Amino acid sequence: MDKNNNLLTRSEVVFMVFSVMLGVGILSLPADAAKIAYEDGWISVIVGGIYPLYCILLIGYFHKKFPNDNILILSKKYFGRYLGSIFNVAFLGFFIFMPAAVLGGYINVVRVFAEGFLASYKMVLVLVLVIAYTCSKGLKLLGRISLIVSIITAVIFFSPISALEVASIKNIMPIGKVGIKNIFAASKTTIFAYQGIEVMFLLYPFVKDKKNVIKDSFIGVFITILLYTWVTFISIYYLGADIVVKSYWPFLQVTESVTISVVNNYRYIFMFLWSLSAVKAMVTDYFGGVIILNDFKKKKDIKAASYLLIPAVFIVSLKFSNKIDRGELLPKISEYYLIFILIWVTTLAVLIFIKDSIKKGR
Amino acid sequence: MENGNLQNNIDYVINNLGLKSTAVIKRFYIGKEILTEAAIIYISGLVDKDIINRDILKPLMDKVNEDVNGKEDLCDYLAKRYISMSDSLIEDDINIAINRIKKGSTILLIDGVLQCLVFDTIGTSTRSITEPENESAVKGPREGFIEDFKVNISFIRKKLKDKNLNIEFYTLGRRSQTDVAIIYIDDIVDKEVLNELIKRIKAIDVDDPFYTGAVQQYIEDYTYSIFPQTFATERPDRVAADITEGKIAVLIDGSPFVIIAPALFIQFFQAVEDYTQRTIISSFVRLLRYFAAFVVITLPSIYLTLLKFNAELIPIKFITPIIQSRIGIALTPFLEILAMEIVVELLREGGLRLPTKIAQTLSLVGGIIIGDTAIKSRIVSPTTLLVVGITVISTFLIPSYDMAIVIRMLRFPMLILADVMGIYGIAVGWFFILVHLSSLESLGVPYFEFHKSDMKDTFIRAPLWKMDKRPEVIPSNNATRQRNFRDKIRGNKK
Repeated sequence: MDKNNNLLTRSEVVFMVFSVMLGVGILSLPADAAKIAYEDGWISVIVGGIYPLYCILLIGYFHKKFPNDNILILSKKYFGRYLGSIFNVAFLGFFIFMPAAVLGGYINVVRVFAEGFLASYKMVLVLVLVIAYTCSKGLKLLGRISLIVSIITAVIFFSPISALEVASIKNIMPIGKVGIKNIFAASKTTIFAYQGIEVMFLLYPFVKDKKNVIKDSFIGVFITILLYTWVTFISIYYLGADIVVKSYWPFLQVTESVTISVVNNYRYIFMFLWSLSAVKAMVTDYFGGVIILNDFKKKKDIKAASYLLIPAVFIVSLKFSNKIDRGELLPKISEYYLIFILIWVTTLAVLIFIKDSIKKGR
Repeated sequence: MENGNLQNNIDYVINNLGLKSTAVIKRFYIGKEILTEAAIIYISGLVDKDIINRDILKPLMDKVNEDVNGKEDLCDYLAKRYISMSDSLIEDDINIAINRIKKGSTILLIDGVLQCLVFDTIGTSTRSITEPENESAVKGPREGFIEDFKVNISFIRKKLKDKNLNIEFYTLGRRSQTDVAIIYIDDIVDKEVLNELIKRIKAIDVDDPFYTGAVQQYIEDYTYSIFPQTFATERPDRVAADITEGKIAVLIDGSPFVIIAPALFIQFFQAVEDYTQRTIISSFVRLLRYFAAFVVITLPSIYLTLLKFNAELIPIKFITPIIQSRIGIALTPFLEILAMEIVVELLREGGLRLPTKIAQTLSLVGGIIIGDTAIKSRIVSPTTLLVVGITVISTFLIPSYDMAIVIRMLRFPMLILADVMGIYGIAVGWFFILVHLSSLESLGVPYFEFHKSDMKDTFIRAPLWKMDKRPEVIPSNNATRQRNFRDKIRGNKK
């Protein structure tokens, strides 16, 4: 029982890790993966999973050295106050970019499939407000929501099982045809689906069971990799790489193969559940921003920070809800941030290691 | 008592009871030769006069065949020798005695004695014990709480004979001075939760706490949330079961409802039959209830979005009859659904307090005539009526009235969201409901939180003998509820 305790429980850690990555990615990921790797797209997805695993490894290292300080404090400590703060601001930018990108992607899909009548700015505004409200309630609530929503929405991943029957094995054969080089090249494009895991750099001190935080994070990452692989695999298996590449949201097409007798198609239920799932991902991303913003403020107040972030996310989301802009901007920003975060956290880890060795040497 | 002057003491008591109270003073003499003056005081209407006449006045006035004047410990002597009542006690503090008079006791004052005798002569008429109408169970005990405080406590005491069952008494209300009892099992309850509850009960400072429902509102955290944060029940068996789970019961004098705190969201979806019926049947019924709650909140909205925005999702075979039935209807789907929902709410609220005889007319006029004529006069389509009808029936599945009314209310904002934003609105609405529920707490205990080990008794009801642990979500000091005794029955000795 965790009365008056605002730390995350073990299962909440697993589902938060899982939630923050599994947003809109599931719909478009097969297309991204198959663009270069064709039939072997699903292997690229597995390879792409190296990124979150690497992040968790570093988090494990930070956590071991400084169980109570998150990366914001470490950054200021090791890069100096100014440089460290600049990095933190850049990191804040990432957490404005992330929820906005997910939100934009979500709005895109919903408008195409069910909501053509509603202007995107209205949808964005409503959603940003709901997200800010959710974040204002604090971390513990996010943990609970991640857990509950993940379980409620689990059905969307398994709904296309019936597609297994009708699909052709030829669609994925021969395995490994495109060669290792292409598989790796494709895995780069799959990384956007895994981005968001960086939020754990901020959250690891707020976990109840300090011993198992890394183990639980790994479980979360593994579930994510598994589900992403399954999603990509079933899309390619059912539609074939040629169609997957031509489709914006191949997984949605696969789910439409599910027939429920009363409802004409499954789209409505899918849209409902997937909306919950996507909002949950945005909320966790957004909360990353809230934590960083809160870190800069003198008066620590999650509520105020949550509402302060609204305008920024709203504006960026509007940009990303345009399909063309999104297609151009997203891969670039995503890649810049990937490089930045990799260099930043790796350098940080190296610095900690060096300082530690010097200390021990003395 | 400051002195033994009888008249002074009587005046003091009467002053404190209120000069215009219905207090009765009966003066009489005790003794054979040398008479000692004495008086009994009680409030008429609160006492059983037969007891007073038979067990107090008669022995003292008739049977005392000796001179008691100047005897040491006179009260003690009289009580032991002459008073044939079991419940009598000697009181030194007259103010405590006065408080007891207010609750139906009778006191005996003797001239020249510094103590008084207090007799329990409470004798107000109470309602007979019946099955609670709003919480009846097909298979389960038939008794319900009544307005009598002591009887209510005895119900719980009878069900839980454990020595650790603690009953603490408090008085609430400046004017009403209502008795309140807090009941819990000492070695199960979490002390932090208990102290929090006691703190809140003690803090209540009102003229009169009036009803259980008022006290519930005084002690809860979120005034503007629509969800009930403590549970009120009329069933002693439910209270006993909840106390053994580590919850705390609050009894208020004069109310047949007992508050159980901390309350959980899922608690409002559980009924007595869940435990008296067989496992699979109970699980099915329970799932049905959650489904019903979902239907009440969402079905009208889904229907609306299908009609208004996403007609392409309706199967072709359905769409023809729906369109045909809608020809010539002036109202938009939204107004049509809203109008019918409001009519249903009017009927429900109207029928709530009507006598049964008139209620029949209401259901006839409401259900049959309005339903039929609404379709014939082309105000609503039959499909809409069907959807609204299903929704109304579904609301009756939720066992707790407190929760049913909340669920019923939620469909209106949902309908508006659906009208403005379609399926996206419904998704946002549901997300908001989930966020709101998760953010609530009852006495610091999360209102809507799920633990893996509690799943045995949340959405389904696992075999009773498998529920070895108390619910994890309610803090408790003793997690084990029972041993897995079925292994012995089955011969697998462990």
